[in-house]
Amino acid sequence: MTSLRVIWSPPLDKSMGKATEVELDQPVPLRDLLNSFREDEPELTQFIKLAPQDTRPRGIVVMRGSDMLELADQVGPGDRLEILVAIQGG
Amino acid sequence: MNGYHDRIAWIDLGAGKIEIRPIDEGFAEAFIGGGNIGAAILAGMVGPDTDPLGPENPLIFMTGPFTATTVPQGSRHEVISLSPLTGVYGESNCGGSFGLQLKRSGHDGLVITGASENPVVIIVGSEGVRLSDASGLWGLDYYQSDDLLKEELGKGIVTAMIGPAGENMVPVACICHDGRHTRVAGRTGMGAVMGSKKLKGIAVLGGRGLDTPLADPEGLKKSTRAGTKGLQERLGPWAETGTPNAVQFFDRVGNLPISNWRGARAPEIAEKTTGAAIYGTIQVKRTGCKRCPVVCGRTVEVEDGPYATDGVIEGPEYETLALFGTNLMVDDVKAITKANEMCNRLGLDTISTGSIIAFANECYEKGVLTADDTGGLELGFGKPDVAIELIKLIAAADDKLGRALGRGVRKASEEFGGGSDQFAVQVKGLELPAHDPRFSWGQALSYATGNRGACHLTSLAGSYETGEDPVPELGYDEPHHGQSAGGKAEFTIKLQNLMNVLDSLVVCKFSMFRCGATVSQFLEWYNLVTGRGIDLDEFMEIGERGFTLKRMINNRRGITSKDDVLPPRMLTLDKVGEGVDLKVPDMKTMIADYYRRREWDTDGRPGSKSIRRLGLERWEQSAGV
Repeated sequence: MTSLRVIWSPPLDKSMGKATEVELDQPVPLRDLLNSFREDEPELTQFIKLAPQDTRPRGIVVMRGSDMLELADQVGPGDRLEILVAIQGG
Repeated sequence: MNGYHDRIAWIDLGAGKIEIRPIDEGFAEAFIGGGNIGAAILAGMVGPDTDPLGPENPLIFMTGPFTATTVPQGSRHEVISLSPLTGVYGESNCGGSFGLQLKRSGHDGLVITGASENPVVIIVGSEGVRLSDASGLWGLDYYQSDDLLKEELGKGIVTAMIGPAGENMVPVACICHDGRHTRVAGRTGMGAVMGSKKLKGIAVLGGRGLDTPLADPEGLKKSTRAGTKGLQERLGPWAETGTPNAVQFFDRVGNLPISNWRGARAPEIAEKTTGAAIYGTIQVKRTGCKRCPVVCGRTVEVEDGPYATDGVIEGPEYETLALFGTNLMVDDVKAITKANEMCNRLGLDTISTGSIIAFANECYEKGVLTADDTGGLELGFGKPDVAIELIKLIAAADDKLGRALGRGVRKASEEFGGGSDQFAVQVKGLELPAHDPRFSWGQALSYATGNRGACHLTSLAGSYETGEDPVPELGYDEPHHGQSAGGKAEFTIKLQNLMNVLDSLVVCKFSMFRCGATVSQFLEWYNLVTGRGIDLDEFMEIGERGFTLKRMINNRRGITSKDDVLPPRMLTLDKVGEGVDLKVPDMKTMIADYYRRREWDTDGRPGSKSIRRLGLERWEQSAGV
């Protein structure tokens, strides 16, 4: 299995579709994966913000199973990630 | 005094006397306004034995220096009193337009003492304050009373009123505002205090009113114009569906209450009860509080069927959707809307009421309550019609079950026994809002230490553990890790102090989501309004002072470290399943660190060193602590 599957939550699914398959030979840091999405789809930059000093994603949450991932976490072939916009309520 | 009219109306309902008193300038500088000034007034008036439903407990409505200025979202107000639900400090922050109109009438606040023999309303205008007979309104629901008062006084009035629940002194009764665009001072039973005074409501007359004195009107205008634009840009996308859209996100990450906090996920129900489900079905249009450029609310209408509403009404927000939705396993957004409408008309806090019904359902499921106790009503999860019947029983308080439930889950569990205290989900008597402390350990710590009990707004920590651009001014450039004890005490304390400042300025805390407004902006606007020139440290110290004073009131009322605890369910049951694996929070480590950083002793009392540093000695002496 060489692909990683990303599930996009609303409203990200408007520009990215429900899911994306990413071909990967080996694991990469989550930061690199998110950066590649931002480069491919500039509209994502309003939701996915990455400053060099950040260790955790801002404005979004990336889930792998029950783990909330940090930017340095390795993601790779066979993984299923869910990218959610952090929506606040109260 | 810039930022204030320097006029608080003191209204003694027992004697029928009204007096205008100034705000002490030192008081305003030390506490700013809103909840903090309310707490300072309350602290001077109540003791260890004051009955929250007795005439000696004051009911205080306060605005702040931003109210009725060009500061965006400056239309809110605070209601402060001892809580009949918790027995300790009570406070509720409310949007809409009441605060704006009260300030424009030339009053910074109202301090209501005593109790009337007969039902009355207080009528406030720029000409003065007077009392009027309200016998004809007593017994009516909020919509009806608001309609009648508007017929009498004109459509331009803004009301703050109770429904039958408040009249019946139900401890989870709220105060409703703004008619069918209902905005609510929901938490801690302020409606019951109003009812205990035979006060049906307050009407503030319309009209242009008086401007708030400002130190630098032009500077403020320029700065707030930019701030308003920033708010619109950064919060606009969020506001399209507002707080309701958090339902699905919180379900996925484990922040949503499921089946009285037992379940891990309920994705099918979440999908049917989230903001998108409202938007496509019953939403009429977007609405907002006065002077708010964000407009995050919405009106709704259920036109027909069993859950038809009384025309177009204010729609449910996230808390109501969660606590009457997944927490009751109800998947019908129309039924939830009806429950919301019932609570607004009868005058009940939807957070506590939804939680109480979930607790009652579990009692029934476990045999703690039987059909004999419920008059044949078969309680259970997934039964919206039963929930609506329970709302009526709680508000009426005319039978044993309704009275017991209306006292909240803590007291109800004491009465029901059968081990029900193990699933009575509350802190200091206040039911948990719809933010799971196993997901956010910052919320966990803030629930345990919060002055009004389990209150998400005491710190809003959960939002700064997943949000965007947290609070750089406080040293947090990125989200804090939610399920970690490290550094959590310092993080939570800073947020609690900040939220106390916001409650004293009386602004909307949602404005800080996505950095729509920043701490630096609030500080700048405060200095432009008042003419003071304080820095960030002084600003934050005002928040610490207010938080500590409220704690001192609570200490006086018997609160110690024994009360700074989460309910058993949150300390024993991990939240596991369907992509969620959340452990119970490490409270022991966090509380110890929290007390040390707050300079509290091991009993949970602020130390004399911090009391002196904060200038709170006079309250310490009168407190008898």
